[in-house]
Amino acid sequence: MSTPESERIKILIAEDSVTTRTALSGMLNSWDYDVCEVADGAQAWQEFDKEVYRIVLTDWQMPDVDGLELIRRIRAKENTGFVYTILLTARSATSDVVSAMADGADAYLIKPAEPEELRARIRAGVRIVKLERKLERRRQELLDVRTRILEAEKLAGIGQLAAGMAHEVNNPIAVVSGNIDVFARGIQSLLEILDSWEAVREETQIPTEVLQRIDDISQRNDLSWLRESLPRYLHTTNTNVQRVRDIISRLQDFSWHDKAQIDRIDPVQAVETTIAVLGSELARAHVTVERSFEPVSSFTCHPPEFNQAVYNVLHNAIQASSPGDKVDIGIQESDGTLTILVADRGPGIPEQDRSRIFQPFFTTRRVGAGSGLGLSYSHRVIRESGGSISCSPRTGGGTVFEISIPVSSQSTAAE
Amino acid sequence: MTSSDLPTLLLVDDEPDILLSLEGLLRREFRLFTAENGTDALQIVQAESIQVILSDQRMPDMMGDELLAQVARLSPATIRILLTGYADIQDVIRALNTGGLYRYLTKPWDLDELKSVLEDAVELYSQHQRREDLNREKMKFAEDILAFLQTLPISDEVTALIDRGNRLMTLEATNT
Repeated sequence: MSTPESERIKILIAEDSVTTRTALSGMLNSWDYDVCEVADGAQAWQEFDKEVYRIVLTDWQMPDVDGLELIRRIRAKENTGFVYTILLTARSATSDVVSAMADGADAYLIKPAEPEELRARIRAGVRIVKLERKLERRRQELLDVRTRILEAEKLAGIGQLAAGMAHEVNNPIAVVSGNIDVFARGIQSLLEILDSWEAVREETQIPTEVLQRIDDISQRNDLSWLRESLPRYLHTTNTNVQRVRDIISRLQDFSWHDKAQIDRIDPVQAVETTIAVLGSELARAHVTVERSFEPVSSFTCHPPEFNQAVYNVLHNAIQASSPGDKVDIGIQESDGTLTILVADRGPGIPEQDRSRIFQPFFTTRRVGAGSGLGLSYSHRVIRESGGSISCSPRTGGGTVFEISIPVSSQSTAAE
Repeated sequence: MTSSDLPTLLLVDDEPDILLSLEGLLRREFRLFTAENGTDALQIVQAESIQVILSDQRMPDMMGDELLAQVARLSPATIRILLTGYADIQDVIRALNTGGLYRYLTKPWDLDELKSVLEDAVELYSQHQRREDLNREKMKFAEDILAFLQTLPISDEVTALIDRGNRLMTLEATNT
Protein backbone atom coordinates (compact mmCIF):
# COMPACT_ATOMS: atom_id res chain seq x y z
CA MET A 1 0.00 0.00 0.00
CA SER A 2 1.50 3.31 -1.00
CA THR A 3 1.52 6.03 1.61
CA PRO A 4 -0.09 9.31 0.48
CA GLU A 5 2.31 12.22 0.06
CA SER A 6 1.05 14.08 3.12
CA GLU A 7 1.53 10.96 5.22
CA ARG A 8 5.21 10.48 4.18
CA ILE A 9 7.64 11.17 6.94
CA LYS A 10 10.56 13.40 5.95
CA ILE A 11 13.90 13.10 7.67
CA LEU A 12 16.27 16.00 8.32
CA ILE A 13 20.01 15.18 8.58
CA ALA A 14 22.39 17.71 10.22
CA GLU A 15 26.05 16.63 9.96
CA ASP A 16 29.15 18.72 9.29
CA SER A 17 31.20 15.84 7.98
CA VAL A 18 30.51 15.38 4.27
CA THR A 19 31.54 11.71 4.32
CA THR A 20 29.23 10.78 7.22
CA ARG A 21 26.39 12.90 5.80
CA THR A 22 26.60 11.29 2.37
CA ALA A 23 26.79 7.82 3.89
CA LEU A 24 23.72 8.47 6.08
CA SER A 25 21.56 9.95 3.34
CA GLY A 26 22.65 7.19 0.96
CA MET A 27 21.44 4.56 3.40
CA LEU A 28 18.13 6.36 4.14
CA ASN A 29 17.46 6.93 0.44
CA SER A 30 18.06 3.27 -0.29
CA TRP A 31 15.36 2.45 2.33
CA ASP A 32 13.03 4.81 0.46
CA TYR A 33 12.87 7.70 2.94
CA ASP A 34 12.62 11.38 1.92
CA VAL A 35 15.76 13.06 3.16
CA CYS A 36 17.01 16.62 3.44
CA GLU A 37 20.68 17.10 4.41
CA VAL A 38 22.32 20.19 5.86
CA ALA A 39 25.89 20.88 7.01
CA ASP A 40 25.33 22.43 10.44
CA GLY A 41 22.90 23.17 13.27
CA ALA A 42 22.03 26.73 12.15
CA GLN A 43 21.08 25.56 8.65
CA ALA A 44 19.13 22.67 10.18
CA TRP A 45 17.16 25.13 12.33
CA GLN A 46 16.37 27.28 9.27
CA GLU A 47 15.23 24.22 7.33
CA PHE A 48 13.14 22.97 10.25
CA ASP A 49 11.37 26.35 10.32
CA LYS A 50 10.42 26.04 6.63
CA GLU A 51 9.32 22.42 6.34
CA VAL A 52 7.63 19.76 8.43
CA TYR A 53 10.15 17.18 9.63
CA ARG A 54 9.03 14.46 11.98
CA ILE A 55 12.42 12.78 12.31
CA VAL A 56 15.69 14.68 12.87
CA LEU A 57 19.06 12.95 12.76
CA THR A 58 21.76 15.27 14.07
CA ASP A 59 25.46 15.21 14.88
CA TRP A 60 26.28 16.36 18.40
CA GLN A 61 29.41 18.38 17.74
CA MET A 62 28.86 21.13 15.19
CA PRO A 63 30.01 24.78 15.08
CA ASP A 64 27.63 27.48 16.49
CA VAL A 65 24.40 25.54 16.99
CA ASP A 66 25.35 22.05 18.10
CA GLY A 67 23.10 18.96 18.09
CA LEU A 68 21.87 19.40 21.67
CA GLU A 69 21.02 23.06 21.07
CA LEU A 70 19.12 22.12 17.89
CA ILE A 71 17.10 19.52 19.81
CA ARG A 72 16.37 22.03 22.58
CA ARG A 73 15.06 24.53 20.00
CA ILE A 74 12.94 21.87 18.30
CA ARG A 75 11.41 20.88 21.65
CA ALA A 76 10.69 24.52 22.50
CA LYS A 77 8.97 25.22 19.20
CA GLU A 78 5.15 25.10 19.31
CA ASN A 79 2.71 23.36 16.98
CA THR A 80 5.26 21.02 15.47
CA GLY A 81 3.58 17.81 16.47
CA PHE A 82 5.87 15.14 17.81
CA VAL A 83 9.45 15.18 16.42
CA TYR A 84 11.63 12.12 16.86
CA THR A 85 15.27 13.16 17.39
CA ILE A 86 18.34 10.96 17.07
CA LEU A 87 21.69 12.26 18.29
CA LEU A 88 24.83 11.05 16.51
CA THR A 89 27.91 11.02 18.68
CA ALA A 90 31.40 9.69 18.96
CA ARG A 91 31.04 9.73 22.75
CA SER A 92 29.89 6.60 24.44
CA ALA A 93 30.21 7.51 28.12
CA THR A 94 26.97 6.86 30.05
CA SER A 95 26.97 10.37 31.48
CA ASP A 96 27.03 11.87 27.98
CA VAL A 97 24.13 9.71 26.87
CA VAL A 98 22.10 10.59 29.99
CA SER A 99 22.67 14.30 29.49
CA ALA A 100 21.68 14.03 25.79
CA MET A 101 18.44 12.22 26.70
CA ALA A 102 17.72 14.79 29.41
CA ASP A 103 17.96 17.52 26.81
CA GLY A 104 15.22 15.85 24.80
CA ALA A 105 16.92 13.43 22.41
CA ASP A 106 14.84 10.31 21.84
CA ALA A 107 17.71 8.08 20.79
CA TYR A 108 21.43 8.21 20.16
CA LEU A 109 23.77 6.45 17.78
CA ILE A 110 27.49 5.93 18.22
CA LYS A 111 29.51 6.88 15.15
CA PRO A 112 30.14 5.30 12.80
CA ALA A 113 26.50 4.19 12.69
CA GLU A 114 25.83 0.58 11.87
CA PRO A 115 23.27 0.43 8.99
CA GLU A 116 21.01 -2.06 10.79
CA GLU A 117 21.06 -0.09 14.01
CA LEU A 118 20.28 3.15 12.15
CA ARG A 119 17.43 1.44 10.34
CA ALA A 120 16.02 0.10 13.63
CA ARG A 121 16.18 3.56 15.24
CA ILE A 122 14.48 5.22 12.26
CA ARG A 123 11.76 2.57 12.25
CA ALA A 124 11.12 3.14 15.95
CA GLY A 125 10.80 6.86 15.17
CA VAL A 126 8.36 6.21 12.31
CA ARG A 127 6.23 4.02 14.58
CA ILE A 128 6.01 6.72 17.25
CA VAL A 129 5.31 9.51 14.76
CA LYS A 130 2.55 7.46 13.13
CA LEU A 131 0.98 6.64 16.50
CA GLU A 132 1.08 10.29 17.43
CA ARG A 133 -0.60 11.25 14.16
CA LYS A 134 -3.34 8.68 14.74
CA LEU A 135 -3.85 10.03 18.24
CA GLU A 136 -4.13 13.56 16.91
CA ARG A 137 -6.75 12.47 14.35
CA ARG A 138 -8.78 10.74 17.07
CA ARG A 139 -8.57 13.83 19.25
CA GLN A 140 -9.83 15.97 16.38
CA GLU A 141 -12.70 13.55 15.76
CA LEU A 142 -13.67 13.61 19.43
CA LEU A 143 -13.63 17.40 19.38
CA ASP A 144 -15.95 17.37 16.35
CA VAL A 145 -18.35 14.94 17.98
CA ARG A 146 -18.36 17.01 21.13
CA THR A 147 -19.19 20.16 19.17
CA ARG A 148 -22.02 18.39 17.40
CA ILE A 149 -23.46 16.91 20.57
CA LEU A 150 -23.45 20.36 22.12
CA GLU A 151 -25.24 21.67 19.06
CA ALA A 152 -27.84 18.90 19.21
CA GLU A 153 -28.43 19.56 22.91
CA LYS A 154 -28.85 23.23 22.18
CA LEU A 155 -31.47 22.43 19.52
CA ALA A 156 -33.35 20.15 21.91
CA GLY A 157 -33.25 22.94 24.48
CA ILE A 158 -34.73 25.39 22.00
CA GLY A 159 -37.59 22.95 21.31
CA GLN A 160 -38.37 22.70 25.02
CA LEU A 161 -38.18 26.43 25.37
CA ALA A 162 -40.67 26.87 22.53
CA ALA A 163 -43.11 24.43 24.11
CA GLY A 164 -42.71 26.14 27.48
CA MET A 165 -43.27 29.55 25.95
CA ALA A 166 -46.41 28.32 24.22
CA HIS A 167 -47.70 27.38 27.65
CA GLU A 168 -46.93 30.70 29.20
CA VAL A 169 -48.54 32.60 26.35
CA ASN A 170 -51.87 30.78 26.70
CA ASN A 171 -53.17 32.75 29.68
CA PRO A 172 -52.52 36.25 28.30
CA ILE A 173 -53.88 35.17 24.92
CA ALA A 174 -57.02 33.88 26.64
CA VAL A 175 -57.49 37.29 28.30
CA VAL A 176 -56.85 39.22 25.08
CA SER A 177 -59.16 37.16 22.90
CA GLY A 178 -61.82 37.05 25.63
CA ASN A 179 -61.70 40.82 25.97
CA ILE A 180 -61.94 41.31 22.22
CA ASP A 181 -65.24 39.41 22.33
CA VAL A 182 -66.35 41.64 25.22
CA PHE A 183 -65.45 44.77 23.21
CA ALA A 184 -67.24 43.46 20.13
CA ARG A 185 -70.43 42.84 22.03
CA GLY A 186 -70.08 46.10 23.98
CA ILE A 187 -69.63 48.19 20.84
CA GLN A 188 -72.59 46.45 19.26
CA SER A 189 -74.70 47.32 22.29
CA LEU A 190 -73.57 50.96 22.36
CA LEU A 191 -74.37 51.37 18.68
CA GLU A 192 -77.78 49.84 19.24
CA ILE A 193 -78.47 52.34 22.02
CA LEU A 194 -77.22 55.17 19.83
CA ASP A 195 -79.44 54.05 16.94
CA SER A 196 -82.52 54.01 19.13
CA TRP A 197 -81.74 57.57 20.30
CA GLU A 198 -81.30 58.79 16.76
CA ALA A 199 -84.56 57.19 15.72
CA VAL A 200 -86.51 59.33 18.17
CA ARG A 201 -84.42 62.46 17.61
CA GLU A 202 -86.99 64.22 15.42
CA GLU A 203 -89.98 63.23 17.54
CA THR A 204 -88.71 64.52 20.84
CA GLN A 205 -88.79 68.11 21.99
CA ILE A 206 -85.06 68.66 22.31
CA PRO A 207 -83.92 72.30 22.24
CA THR A 208 -82.05 73.12 19.02
CA GLU A 209 -78.91 74.26 20.85
CA VAL A 210 -78.70 70.89 22.63
CA LEU A 211 -79.06 69.07 19.32
CA GLN A 212 -76.39 71.34 17.86
CA ARG A 213 -74.01 70.48 20.71
CA ILE A 214 -74.58 66.76 20.26
CA ASP A 215 -73.95 67.11 16.50
CA ASP A 216 -70.70 68.98 17.20
CA ILE A 217 -69.49 66.21 19.50
CA SER A 218 -70.45 63.61 16.89
CA GLN A 219 -68.57 65.47 14.21
CA ARG A 220 -65.49 66.07 16.35
CA ASN A 221 -65.30 62.34 17.10
CA ASP A 222 -66.13 61.39 13.54
CA LEU A 223 -69.11 59.24 14.47
CA SER A 224 -69.63 57.85 10.97
CA TRP A 225 -66.00 56.71 10.89
CA LEU A 226 -66.35 55.06 14.29
CA ARG A 227 -69.52 53.26 13.20
CA GLU A 228 -67.89 52.02 10.06
CA SER A 229 -64.37 51.32 11.27
CA LEU A 230 -64.52 49.97 14.82
CA PRO A 231 -66.01 46.65 13.69
CA ARG A 232 -63.24 46.41 11.07
CA TYR A 233 -60.53 47.06 13.66
CA LEU A 234 -62.04 44.48 15.93
CA HIS A 235 -62.19 42.02 13.11
CA THR A 236 -58.51 42.35 12.15
CA THR A 237 -57.47 42.26 15.82
CA ASN A 238 -59.41 39.07 16.21
CA THR A 239 -57.94 37.55 13.06
CA ASN A 240 -54.42 38.28 14.23
CA VAL A 241 -54.94 36.98 17.74
CA GLN A 242 -56.36 33.88 16.11
CA ARG A 243 -53.12 33.58 14.14
CA VAL A 244 -51.09 33.68 17.34
CA ARG A 245 -53.36 31.05 18.83
CA ASP A 246 -52.91 28.85 15.76
CA ILE A 247 -49.13 29.14 15.90
CA ILE A 248 -49.11 28.15 19.56
CA SER A 249 -51.48 25.28 19.11
CA ARG A 250 -49.40 24.02 16.16
CA LEU A 251 -46.27 24.19 18.26
CA GLN A 252 -48.02 22.16 20.93
CA ASP A 253 -49.47 19.70 18.43
CA PHE A 254 -46.07 19.28 16.90
CA SER A 255 -44.23 18.61 20.13
CA TRP A 256 -47.26 16.56 21.20
CA HIS A 257 -46.98 18.38 24.44
CA ASP A 258 -49.19 17.14 27.28
CA LYS A 259 -50.59 14.37 25.18
CA ALA A 260 -50.34 10.61 25.36
CA GLN A 261 -46.92 9.43 24.24
CA ILE A 262 -48.27 6.57 22.14
CA ASP A 263 -51.33 7.35 20.09
CA ARG A 264 -53.14 6.68 16.84
CA ILE A 265 -52.64 9.45 14.36
CA ASP A 266 -53.91 10.32 10.93
CA PRO A 267 -50.76 10.59 8.77
CA VAL A 268 -52.32 13.21 6.48
CA GLN A 269 -53.15 15.45 9.41
CA ALA A 270 -49.72 14.91 10.97
CA VAL A 271 -47.97 15.85 7.72
CA GLU A 272 -50.22 18.92 7.36
CA THR A 273 -49.21 20.01 10.87
CA THR A 274 -45.56 19.58 9.97
CA ILE A 275 -45.98 21.60 6.76
CA ALA A 276 -47.67 24.33 8.79
CA VAL A 277 -44.83 24.37 11.33
CA LEU A 278 -42.38 24.78 8.46
CA GLY A 279 -44.57 27.51 6.93
CA SER A 280 -42.24 30.42 7.61
CA GLU A 281 -39.23 28.40 6.47
CA LEU A 282 -41.02 27.61 3.20
CA ALA A 283 -41.94 31.27 2.73
CA ARG A 284 -38.38 32.44 3.43
CA ALA A 285 -36.94 29.96 0.95
CA HIS A 286 -39.70 30.77 -1.60
CA VAL A 287 -40.50 27.10 -1.85
CA THR A 288 -44.02 25.78 -2.35
CA VAL A 289 -45.48 22.41 -1.44
CA GLU A 290 -47.35 20.30 -3.98
CA ARG A 291 -49.56 17.80 -2.16
CA SER A 292 -50.87 14.54 -3.48
CA PHE A 293 -52.53 12.98 -0.46
CA GLU A 294 -54.68 9.90 -0.68
CA PRO A 295 -56.89 8.91 2.23
CA VAL A 296 -54.90 6.46 4.37
CA SER A 297 -55.57 4.57 7.57
CA SER A 298 -54.46 5.94 10.90
CA PHE A 299 -51.70 4.12 12.71
CA THR A 300 -50.20 3.84 16.15
CA CYS A 301 -46.89 5.54 16.81
CA HIS A 302 -45.03 7.89 19.08
CA PRO A 303 -46.42 11.10 17.55
CA PRO A 304 -43.74 13.65 18.54
CA GLU A 305 -41.01 11.39 17.16
CA PHE A 306 -42.94 10.64 13.99
CA ASN A 307 -43.61 14.37 13.47
CA GLN A 308 -39.94 15.18 14.02
CA ALA A 309 -38.88 12.45 11.59
CA VAL A 310 -41.11 13.85 8.84
CA TYR A 311 -40.08 17.38 9.76
CA ASN A 312 -36.39 16.56 9.28
CA VAL A 313 -36.96 15.02 5.84
CA LEU A 314 -39.09 17.97 4.73
CA HIS A 315 -36.63 20.46 6.22
CA ASN A 316 -33.84 18.76 4.30
CA ALA A 317 -35.86 19.04 1.07
CA ILE A 318 -36.44 22.76 1.65
CA GLN A 319 -32.73 23.32 2.24
CA ALA A 320 -31.89 21.48 -0.97
CA SER A 321 -34.34 23.64 -2.95
CA SER A 322 -33.74 26.90 -4.79
CA PRO A 323 -36.14 29.86 -4.65
CA GLY A 324 -39.19 29.16 -6.82
CA ASP A 325 -38.85 25.40 -6.49
CA LYS A 326 -41.62 23.01 -5.58
CA VAL A 327 -41.39 20.18 -3.09
CA ASP A 328 -43.78 17.31 -3.84
CA ILE A 329 -45.23 15.48 -0.88
CA GLY A 330 -47.16 12.30 -1.47
CA ILE A 331 -49.04 10.10 0.98
CA GLN A 332 -50.42 6.76 -0.09
CA GLU A 333 -51.16 3.30 1.21
CA SER A 334 -51.06 -0.05 -0.47
CA ASP A 335 -50.87 -3.63 0.80
CA GLY A 336 -50.76 -2.47 4.39
CA THR A 337 -47.83 -0.15 3.88
CA LEU A 338 -48.05 3.59 4.37
CA THR A 339 -45.71 5.52 2.07
CA ILE A 340 -44.72 9.15 2.43
CA LEU A 341 -42.76 10.61 -0.49
CA VAL A 342 -40.86 13.89 -0.32
CA ALA A 343 -39.33 14.99 -3.61
CA ASP A 344 -37.15 18.07 -4.08
CA ARG A 345 -35.71 19.61 -7.22
CA GLY A 346 -32.32 20.26 -5.66
CA PRO A 347 -28.87 19.28 -6.90
CA GLY A 348 -29.38 15.62 -5.95
CA ILE A 349 -27.18 13.40 -3.82
CA PRO A 350 -24.07 11.86 -5.39
CA GLU A 351 -24.28 8.08 -5.51
CA GLN A 352 -21.34 7.56 -3.15
CA ASP A 353 -23.07 9.69 -0.49
CA ARG A 354 -26.48 8.02 -0.70
CA SER A 355 -25.59 5.26 1.74
CA ARG A 356 -24.03 7.72 4.16
CA ILE A 357 -26.79 10.34 4.16
CA PHE A 358 -28.59 8.62 7.08
CA GLN A 359 -25.44 8.26 9.17
CA PRO A 360 -25.11 10.55 12.18
CA PHE A 361 -23.05 13.68 11.54
CA PHE A 362 -22.94 13.21 7.80
CA THR A 363 -23.56 16.59 6.27
CA THR A 364 -22.77 18.22 2.98
CA ARG A 365 -23.46 21.65 4.38
CA ARG A 366 -20.80 23.95 5.68
CA VAL A 367 -19.84 23.63 9.34
CA GLY A 368 -22.54 25.11 11.54
CA ALA A 369 -25.23 25.08 8.85
CA GLY A 370 -26.49 21.62 9.66
CA SER A 371 -25.94 19.30 12.56
CA GLY A 372 -25.85 16.24 10.31
CA LEU A 373 -28.26 14.67 12.79
CA GLY A 374 -31.63 15.35 11.17
CA LEU A 375 -31.83 12.51 8.67
CA SER A 376 -30.11 10.05 10.96
CA TYR A 377 -32.79 10.83 13.54
CA SER A 378 -35.53 10.20 10.96
CA HIS A 379 -33.80 6.97 9.97
CA ARG A 380 -33.67 5.74 13.57
CA VAL A 381 -37.30 6.66 14.36
CA ILE A 382 -38.73 5.13 11.18
CA ARG A 383 -36.65 1.98 11.58
CA GLU A 384 -37.75 1.62 15.22
CA SER A 385 -41.38 1.75 14.12
CA GLY A 386 -40.67 -1.17 11.79
CA GLY A 387 -40.44 0.94 8.66
CA SER A 388 -37.70 2.07 6.33
CA ILE A 389 -36.44 5.26 4.75
CA SER A 390 -34.46 5.56 1.55
CA CYS A 391 -33.49 8.11 -1.05
CA SER A 392 -33.15 7.91 -4.79
CA PRO A 393 -32.61 10.38 -7.66
CA ARG A 394 -35.74 12.11 -8.91
CA THR A 395 -36.42 11.92 -12.64
CA GLY A 396 -35.68 15.39 -13.94
CA GLY A 397 -33.26 16.23 -11.12
CA GLY A 398 -33.40 16.28 -7.36
CA THR A 399 -33.96 13.65 -4.73
CA VAL A 400 -36.92 11.56 -3.61
CA PHE A 401 -37.07 10.45 0.02
CA GLU A 402 -39.37 7.54 0.66
CA ILE A 403 -40.66 6.65 4.10
CA SER A 404 -42.44 3.29 4.32
CA ILE A 405 -44.24 2.12 7.43
CA PRO A 406 -46.21 -1.10 7.82
CA VAL A 407 -49.66 -0.15 9.12
CA SER A 408 -51.94 -3.16 8.71
CA SER A 409 -49.98 -5.72 10.72
CA GLN A 410 -49.42 -3.06 13.34
CA SER A 411 -53.10 -2.19 13.72
CA THR A 412 -54.08 -5.83 14.25
CA ALA A 413 -51.36 -6.09 16.85
CA ALA A 414 -52.48 -2.93 18.59
CA GLU A 415 -56.19 -3.71 18.69
CA MET B 1 -85.78 37.64 33.12
CA THR B 2 -84.32 39.27 36.22
CA SER B 3 -80.75 38.51 37.18
CA SER B 4 -81.88 36.23 40.00
CA ASP B 5 -83.61 33.97 37.46
CA LEU B 6 -80.33 33.35 35.63
CA PRO B 7 -78.42 30.14 36.23
CA THR B 8 -75.63 30.54 38.80
CA LEU B 9 -72.04 30.11 37.66
CA LEU B 10 -68.96 30.22 39.86
CA LEU B 11 -65.71 31.20 38.11
CA VAL B 12 -62.44 30.32 39.83
CA ASP B 13 -59.03 31.51 38.59
CA ASP B 14 -56.03 32.97 40.37
CA GLU B 15 -55.59 35.47 37.55
CA PRO B 16 -58.02 38.38 38.05
CA ASP B 17 -57.68 39.32 34.37
CA ILE B 18 -59.07 35.95 33.32
CA LEU B 19 -62.02 36.39 35.71
CA LEU B 20 -62.65 39.89 34.36
CA SER B 21 -62.63 38.65 30.79
CA LEU B 22 -64.99 35.75 31.57
CA GLU B 23 -67.31 38.09 33.50
CA GLY B 24 -67.49 40.40 30.51
CA LEU B 25 -68.38 37.48 28.27
CA LEU B 26 -70.88 35.67 30.49
CA ARG B 27 -72.52 38.37 32.60
CA ARG B 28 -75.73 38.42 30.54
CA GLU B 29 -76.33 34.69 30.51
CA PHE B 30 -75.41 33.86 34.11
CA ARG B 31 -75.57 35.14 37.63
CA LEU B 32 -71.84 35.18 38.25
CA PHE B 33 -69.77 34.52 41.33
CA THR B 34 -65.98 34.73 41.23
CA ALA B 35 -63.19 33.46 43.44
CA GLU B 36 -59.44 33.86 43.09
CA ASN B 37 -58.61 30.75 45.08
CA GLY B 38 -59.99 27.39 46.14
CA THR B 39 -60.74 28.38 49.73
CA ASP B 40 -62.95 31.32 48.71
CA ALA B 41 -64.61 29.14 46.08
CA LEU B 42 -65.59 26.52 48.68
CA GLN B 43 -67.13 29.22 50.89
CA ILE B 44 -69.26 30.45 47.99
CA VAL B 45 -70.32 26.89 47.14
CA GLN B 46 -71.52 26.42 50.72
CA ALA B 47 -73.29 29.79 50.93
CA GLU B 48 -74.96 29.89 47.51
CA SER B 49 -76.77 27.45 45.31
CA ILE B 50 -74.20 27.10 42.52
CA GLN B 51 -75.36 25.30 39.40
CA VAL B 52 -72.08 25.26 37.49
CA ILE B 53 -68.47 25.78 38.59
CA LEU B 54 -65.71 26.56 36.06
CA SER B 55 -62.31 26.31 37.69
CA ASP B 56 -58.74 26.86 36.59
CA GLN B 57 -56.44 23.90 37.24
CA ARG B 58 -53.21 25.56 38.39
CA MET B 59 -53.78 27.69 41.45
CA PRO B 60 -51.40 28.33 44.33
CA ASP B 61 -53.51 27.20 47.28
CA MET B 62 -55.45 24.32 45.75
CA MET B 63 -55.35 22.59 42.39
CA GLY B 64 -58.53 22.70 40.32
CA ASP B 65 -59.08 18.95 40.40
CA GLU B 66 -58.81 18.95 44.20
CA LEU B 67 -61.28 21.85 44.47
CA LEU B 68 -63.76 20.04 42.22
CA ALA B 69 -63.43 16.86 44.28
CA GLN B 70 -64.37 18.85 47.41
CA VAL B 71 -67.25 20.57 45.59
CA ALA B 72 -68.51 17.13 44.57
CA ARG B 73 -68.80 16.24 48.27
CA LEU B 74 -70.21 19.57 49.49
CA SER B 75 -72.61 20.21 46.63
CA PRO B 76 -73.07 17.11 44.49
CA ALA B 77 -75.60 18.79 42.20
CA THR B 78 -73.12 21.43 41.02
CA ILE B 79 -71.83 20.63 37.52
CA ARG B 80 -68.03 20.77 37.48
CA ILE B 81 -65.87 22.00 34.60
CA LEU B 82 -62.10 22.37 34.55
CA LEU B 83 -60.47 25.21 32.62
CA THR B 84 -56.78 24.86 32.08
CA GLY B 85 -53.96 26.46 30.14
CA TYR B 86 -51.87 23.45 30.93
CA ALA B 87 -53.79 20.72 29.17
CA ASP B 88 -52.12 18.31 31.49
CA ILE B 89 -53.74 15.01 30.68
CA GLN B 90 -52.84 13.61 34.11
CA ASP B 91 -54.68 16.41 35.94
CA VAL B 92 -57.72 15.93 33.74
CA ILE B 93 -57.74 12.17 34.34
CA ARG B 94 -57.49 12.76 38.09
CA ALA B 95 -60.31 15.31 37.95
CA LEU B 96 -62.47 12.84 35.99
CA ASN B 97 -61.85 10.09 38.49
CA THR B 98 -62.06 12.00 41.77
CA GLY B 99 -63.91 15.20 40.98
CA GLY B 100 -66.69 13.84 38.79
CA LEU B 101 -65.61 16.22 36.06
CA TYR B 102 -68.31 17.02 33.51
CA ARG B 103 -66.06 18.57 30.84
CA TYR B 104 -62.72 20.26 30.50
CA LEU B 105 -61.85 23.33 28.47
CA THR B 106 -58.46 24.64 27.48
CA LYS B 107 -57.15 28.19 27.56
CA PRO B 108 -57.41 30.11 25.35
CA TRP B 109 -61.04 29.08 25.05
CA ASP B 110 -63.18 29.30 22.00
CA LEU B 111 -66.17 31.53 22.87
CA ASP B 112 -68.73 29.37 21.07
CA GLU B 113 -67.38 26.20 22.64
CA LEU B 114 -67.25 27.83 26.09
CA LYS B 115 -70.88 28.93 25.80
CA SER B 116 -72.17 25.65 24.45
CA VAL B 117 -70.38 23.66 27.17
CA LEU B 118 -71.82 25.99 29.85
CA GLU B 119 -75.31 25.80 28.34
CA ASP B 120 -75.08 22.00 28.26
CA ALA B 121 -73.95 22.04 31.88
CA VAL B 122 -76.92 24.19 32.91
CA GLU B 123 -79.26 21.90 30.98
CA LEU B 124 -77.77 18.86 32.73
CA TYR B 125 -78.20 20.57 36.09
CA SER B 126 -81.86 21.30 35.28
CA GLN B 127 -82.41 17.71 34.17
CA HIS B 128 -81.00 16.44 37.44
CA GLN B 129 -83.11 18.97 39.28
CA ARG B 130 -86.28 17.98 37.43
CA ARG B 131 -85.59 14.31 38.05
CA GLU B 132 -85.05 15.03 41.72
CA ASP B 133 -88.25 17.11 41.93
CA LEU B 134 -90.15 14.33 40.24
CA ASN B 135 -88.66 11.77 42.60
CA ARG B 136 -89.52 13.92 45.58
CA GLU B 137 -93.08 14.26 44.30
CA LYS B 138 -93.32 10.47 43.86
CA MET B 139 -92.03 9.86 47.37
CA LYS B 140 -94.49 12.40 48.75
CA PHE B 141 -97.27 10.60 46.92
CA ALA B 142 -96.09 7.24 48.27
CA GLU B 143 -96.04 8.64 51.80
CA ASP B 144 -99.58 9.95 51.45
CA ILE B 145 -100.75 6.61 50.09
CA LEU B 146 -99.05 4.82 52.95
CA ALA B 147 -100.73 7.08 55.50
CA PHE B 148 -104.06 6.49 53.77
CA LEU B 149 -103.54 2.70 53.74
CA GLN B 150 -103.03 2.71 57.48
CA THR B 151 -106.55 4.14 57.96
CA LEU B 152 -108.13 1.25 56.06
CA PRO B 153 -109.47 -1.93 57.76
CA ILE B 154 -106.77 -4.59 57.94
CA SER B 155 -106.69 -7.22 55.21
CA ASP B 156 -103.91 -9.31 53.63
CA GLU B 157 -103.73 -7.00 50.61
CA VAL B 158 -103.57 -3.85 52.72
CA THR B 159 -100.85 -5.30 55.01
CA ALA B 160 -98.78 -6.38 51.98
CA LEU B 161 -99.04 -2.90 50.45
CA ILE B 162 -98.05 -1.24 53.76
CA ASP B 163 -95.01 -3.57 53.96
CA ARG B 164 -93.99 -2.64 50.40
CA GLY B 165 -94.41 1.02 51.23
CA ASN B 166 -92.27 0.74 54.35
CA ARG B 167 -89.53 -1.09 52.44
CA LEU B 168 -89.55 1.68 49.82
CA MET B 169 -89.24 4.35 52.54
CA THR B 170 -86.29 2.52 54.12
CA LEU B 171 -84.56 2.17 50.73
CA GLU B 172 -85.07 5.88 49.99
CA ALA B 173 -83.71 6.84 53.42
CA THR B 174 -80.54 4.78 52.98
CA ASN B 175 -80.03 6.13 49.44
CA THR B 176 -79.94 9.81 50.32
